[in-house]
Amino acid sequence: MSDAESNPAVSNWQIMRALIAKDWRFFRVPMIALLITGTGCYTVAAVAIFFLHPDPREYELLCHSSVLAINLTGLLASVLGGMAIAVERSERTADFVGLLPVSRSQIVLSKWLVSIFMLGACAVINAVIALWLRSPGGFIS
Amino acid sequence: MTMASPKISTEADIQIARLTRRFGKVNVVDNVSLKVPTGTTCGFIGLNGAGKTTTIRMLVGLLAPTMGVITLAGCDMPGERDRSRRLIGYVPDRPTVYSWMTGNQAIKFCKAIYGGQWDDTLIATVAKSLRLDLSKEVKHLSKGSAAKLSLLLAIGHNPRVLILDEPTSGFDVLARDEFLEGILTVNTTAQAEGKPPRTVLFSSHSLGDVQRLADSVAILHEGKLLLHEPIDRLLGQTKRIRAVMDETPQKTVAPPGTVRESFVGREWTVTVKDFSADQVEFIRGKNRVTQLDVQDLTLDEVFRDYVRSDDKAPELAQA
Repeated sequence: MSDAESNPAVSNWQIMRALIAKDWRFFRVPMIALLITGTGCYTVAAVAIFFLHPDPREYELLCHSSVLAINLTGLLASVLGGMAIAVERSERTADFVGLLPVSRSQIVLSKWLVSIFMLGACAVINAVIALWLRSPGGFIS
Repeated sequence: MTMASPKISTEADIQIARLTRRFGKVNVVDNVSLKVPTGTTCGFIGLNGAGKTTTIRMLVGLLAPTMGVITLAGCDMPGERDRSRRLIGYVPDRPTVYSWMTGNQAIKFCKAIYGGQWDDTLIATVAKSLRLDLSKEVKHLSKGSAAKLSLLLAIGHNPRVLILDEPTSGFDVLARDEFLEGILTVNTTAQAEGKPPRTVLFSSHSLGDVQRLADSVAILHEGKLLLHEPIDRLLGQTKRIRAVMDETPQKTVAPPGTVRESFVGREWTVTVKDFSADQVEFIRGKNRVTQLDVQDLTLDEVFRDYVRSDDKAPELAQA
């Protein structure tokens, strides 16, 4: 038996940790793009309310911004999904990962977990903002 | 000539039999059988589009063969692909590492995946020999440095089989030397530690590299394996016979084992395999020759004659 075969196998958890860390970095660019556009929605609404139409009735705009940001998160979901496969293929990084001793299900699971976490976090943040704005004692009320 | 047997045995770490890959109606790799004995280095050469990369991608499990059998480090491919991952190292023709990773991050990532199998000492030794800056991001590395990093990542888990696909194409002279030095260091380090030498298959357009590193050479042409032989034997037994005829030849009789022949005026040049004095006598006996000499060939010349063996003058090449 060769060295390679006799060495203890690394645990699945260690492999998943390494893959998740890699995918976290891999998805950073679209995530930053979403943060910028999401923040942009609120900024535009805030500018419109406080500088152009300083009318409390316009505060509803902020709520619409939350809804828009949530929709953008949905859009990002398709970007992340496409990136997960297309970019890895075009840059041939899929070959790099594909030749490591990891199963295809681990590769897919890692991407899925990171995407779900990123999208979920964005959706939750925007939903919380929207709910807070509409809640009794919130900004709009 | 030792054309590879289609039979599969267990003495060779790389064994392929009747391997075929079809794209549409074209057989890019056509019924190739090859056996690389354990612990030896095989240079895999051929023109652009000969099918080298396709063969290698099938070998490492990145591409499914249309037909044929592959056994790599004792693993049947692609069925035992997952087991083979810990036994093979692959250096692609262009880097596939994430461009945003630094060398150190890429090593850390691979180490986390391979766990206890990862050999930090080997990595340190080879990285030093390669003079590689591991703090730079891959996107900022030169082509040579990126390939060196690929080599480093391919050998970190001490693979039994190392497969390199045109790793030095486009390198400057210094980067090429350092890279080849790195490959040699990998094997000498293993031998110094009492480990068996690795089996290496590397494709290249640089026949100088092949001659320097390889024990045997396999020539692939238009998807077919023309030959697979130990380099020393190939160079020792392939000769060029240059004959000057008494008049411009109308018809010549080439000896058995002719690989290629060509004519320039009254000069007839015949490249033969399995050279023997009988072939010289055959030429003297069957043709009106006034002068004759036998020349040694370089690997470059042998390769050219084998791949151009189809374009000999048809009306004069009657054996």
